[in-house]
Amino acid sequence: MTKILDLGELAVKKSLGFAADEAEAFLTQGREISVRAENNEIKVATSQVEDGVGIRAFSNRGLGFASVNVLNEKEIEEAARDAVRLSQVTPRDEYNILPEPKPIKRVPGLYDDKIEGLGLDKAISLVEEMLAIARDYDSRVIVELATFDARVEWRGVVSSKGIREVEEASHFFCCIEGMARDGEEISSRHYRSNSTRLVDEIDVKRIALEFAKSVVASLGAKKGESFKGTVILSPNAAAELMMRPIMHSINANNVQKGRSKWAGKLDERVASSTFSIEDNGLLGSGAGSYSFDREGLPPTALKIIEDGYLRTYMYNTYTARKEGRRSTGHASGGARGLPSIGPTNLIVKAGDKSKDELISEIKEGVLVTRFAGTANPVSGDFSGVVKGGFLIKDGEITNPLIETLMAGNLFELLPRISGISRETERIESLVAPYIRIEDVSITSG
Amino acid sequence: MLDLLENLLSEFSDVDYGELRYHKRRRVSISISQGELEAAGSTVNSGVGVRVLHRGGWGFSSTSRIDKEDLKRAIYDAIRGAKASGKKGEVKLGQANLAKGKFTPRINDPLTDHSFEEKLALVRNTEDRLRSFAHIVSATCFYSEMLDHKYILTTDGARAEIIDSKPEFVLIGVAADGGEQVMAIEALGATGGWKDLFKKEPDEMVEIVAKRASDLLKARHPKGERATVILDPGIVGLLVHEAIGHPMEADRVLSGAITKGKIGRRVASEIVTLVDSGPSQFGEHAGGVVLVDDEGVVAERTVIIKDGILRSYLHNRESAGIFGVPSTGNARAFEYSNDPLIRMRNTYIEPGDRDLEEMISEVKEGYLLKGAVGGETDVNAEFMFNVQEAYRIENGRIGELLRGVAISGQAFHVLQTVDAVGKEFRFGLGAGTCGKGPTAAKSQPARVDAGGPYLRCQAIIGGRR
Repeated sequence: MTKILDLGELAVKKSLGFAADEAEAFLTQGREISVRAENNEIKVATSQVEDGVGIRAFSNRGLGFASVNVLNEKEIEEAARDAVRLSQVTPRDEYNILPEPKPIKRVPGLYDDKIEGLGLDKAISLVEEMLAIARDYDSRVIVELATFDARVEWRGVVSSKGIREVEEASHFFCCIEGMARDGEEISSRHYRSNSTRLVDEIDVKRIALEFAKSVVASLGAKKGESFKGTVILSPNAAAELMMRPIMHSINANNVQKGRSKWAGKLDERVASSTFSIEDNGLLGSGAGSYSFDREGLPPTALKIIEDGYLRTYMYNTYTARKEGRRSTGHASGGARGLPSIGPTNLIVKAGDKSKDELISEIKEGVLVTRFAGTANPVSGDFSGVVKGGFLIKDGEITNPLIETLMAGNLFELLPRISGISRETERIESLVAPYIRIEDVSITSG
Repeated sequence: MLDLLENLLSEFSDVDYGELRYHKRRRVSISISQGELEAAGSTVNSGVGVRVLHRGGWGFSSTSRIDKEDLKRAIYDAIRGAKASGKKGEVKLGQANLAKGKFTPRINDPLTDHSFEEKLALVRNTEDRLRSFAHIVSATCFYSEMLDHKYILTTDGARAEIIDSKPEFVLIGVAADGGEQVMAIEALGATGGWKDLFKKEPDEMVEIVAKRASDLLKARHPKGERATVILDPGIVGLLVHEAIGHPMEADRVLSGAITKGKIGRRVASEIVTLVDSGPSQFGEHAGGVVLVDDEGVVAERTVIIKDGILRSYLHNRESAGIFGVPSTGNARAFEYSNDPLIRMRNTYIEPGDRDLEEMISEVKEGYLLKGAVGGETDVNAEFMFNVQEAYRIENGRIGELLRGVAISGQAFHVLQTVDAVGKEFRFGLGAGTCGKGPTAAKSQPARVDAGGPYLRCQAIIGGRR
């Protein structure tokens, strides 16, 4: 859309006119519809239009930032003036230089033009379908929340260094959350979601059915025993437990500020040799993909952990300059703030055994399908409640477990991974398998 | 803008209820960590949120494009949403004291009278001073301010203009000794101006953080036990907000929170009175001050627990209608693009008549706990909070400082055990935000405050995890 680029040019030109040495504008124009059901009923249908521009200015290597969500000449000029004024009074930092342009390759499948024909009525019928599937599976199912969102967004970056990129993307999201109730007994609470770029990939049926099956299966839970042993995390539980501390630790800003457990650990062994993790922003139709990042640079396919060895951190331009290297294309964020650092699509490499084989090898253990707790991303210490836990005895899943506590340290668990499944699931922008870990402490309530 | 919105009210003629909310927010944030500027920016966000109720269905729309045609389209979208989602019976909105006129909190020394340069220099110098202590390995300081201007109009008569000003200033120090790290935080948050925020001087905050971090580094870990504890106003605030306040939100009551059906029942010791108030009675500049909520309802002082008996939940107009009570004015939206949810404002336990020294002197063995850090709460009001400082109390005297303390229990059981309520009162949660929303991506932050007097009660003290 040329309008975004023109407005970006205007923002950059105005900033240079106010005497900035360098300037960058990041622009967005978005529309979203959303339908939400609560307690088995449609509650609200929502639509939203929002624009935004964030202007980053450097003057004498000082940094200033201003943003406004109204895209007209007067407001853009005002924001440019603010950004430049701030950049003239902030301290000099030699790494404050905008990146040079790099060739951009378009990632396929980020925009689905079918979104144009998808209105509130269709969105409501998709949510109603989720409710119906979950309730028809078993009348004991209670859907506390079900949502469907469809969003289309233009993003653009223009800079005084010659970057001039724009891209349109669509995004669909659905989720369902709740429990099953049988008389006085209430199951643990479960959650399933699905995030896609393409309308035809939205699978509300699968999500609703998986949710219903899992809440019903967790009825009749029994108290387990406290033990230290084998745990197998479902892709969903792996995402909840492991990903935040890992993302925190590979963020170059945290590494440089001493807030990462993995500072100074490049090319060291941080996990078992079966564990590899990649970040790939170029993945076709990936929920976390983009053709250019928050600074207008292309993402790279980055092998972060390879056979248990830590290979690289994720960088934006600022953190890369500090180490005399180039950005890995992981500048993240929107128009309302400075570029930070974030993953695109994180992919945990699949293993060669099936999930059932992994379970069959466990003498005594627990299958964890949901983990609700807190993890300290710096230390890796976590503690929380296993929801949707199942006892495994002699290679077989026996009964669901009443919510039990699980605590430990993630960085100590990674080297104890003893198996990774062939099967993987896409959970929003994460692709994860089942992960089996030894010597985990589980405390029965 | 007001005239434009006023004229647009006629667009709602064929629906049951319509609401227009214009909200412009200017925000300045400055953050410095380890000597590096991490944020230096100003953002302006403005737009209109439109809400429609028709035959039991809600529609909401929002737009950042605020000319007449775009607003008409937004109204049309909200009406369409309400009509499409309305298949249930009628929703009757509760009675409400609808706001009319202009509402402004008292602001001493407006934030706009202080230049960006001054704010930047303050953050830089404060972070710099804290970082200069040898035992401090990481220092972070940030300042942020939110200046709001709103108009709220509803088809049943609200016509309010609302001004707000909420600054915050936070200082965090991490000290390390070998592999062990301890953290100390001092935070200020207020509704008002510069003088209302800086009740403590930044220099004093630096000294406090540096000393506390150093003391904690030398401190031993406690053993886990059930004990008599005296909670400081900050921890009381965290407890009554997180563990007691959330289950009092009527939407949570309706979806089965443990407070359901408990109105009129004893839920706390008879010396406990809990309030959630829009204006604040103690400390006029509490960080969660709301004069008019985002449905245009005058925000009141709501007594939740009176002398130990549960008296009221926290309502928006829809839940008030369901319970047959007036709205308490707890509907809050973060920005124009958010639909209002039931949120707390300033939540506190009313002060009693006891001296802290006296409360300590009566404890044979126990702890004085200070400085809430955060934690987690389950739907059944089981909580686990981390606190910064735990002092042993032995034979009525303050003893050794211990660190790494977590306090846990079931919040209502803890409130039942309260046997002394202090007379000193303080708000302690004014900086930072509380999040609530249907999904993580749609969670809305809200500036809230909470506090109270010192409370003596029974709880479980945890050692190291």
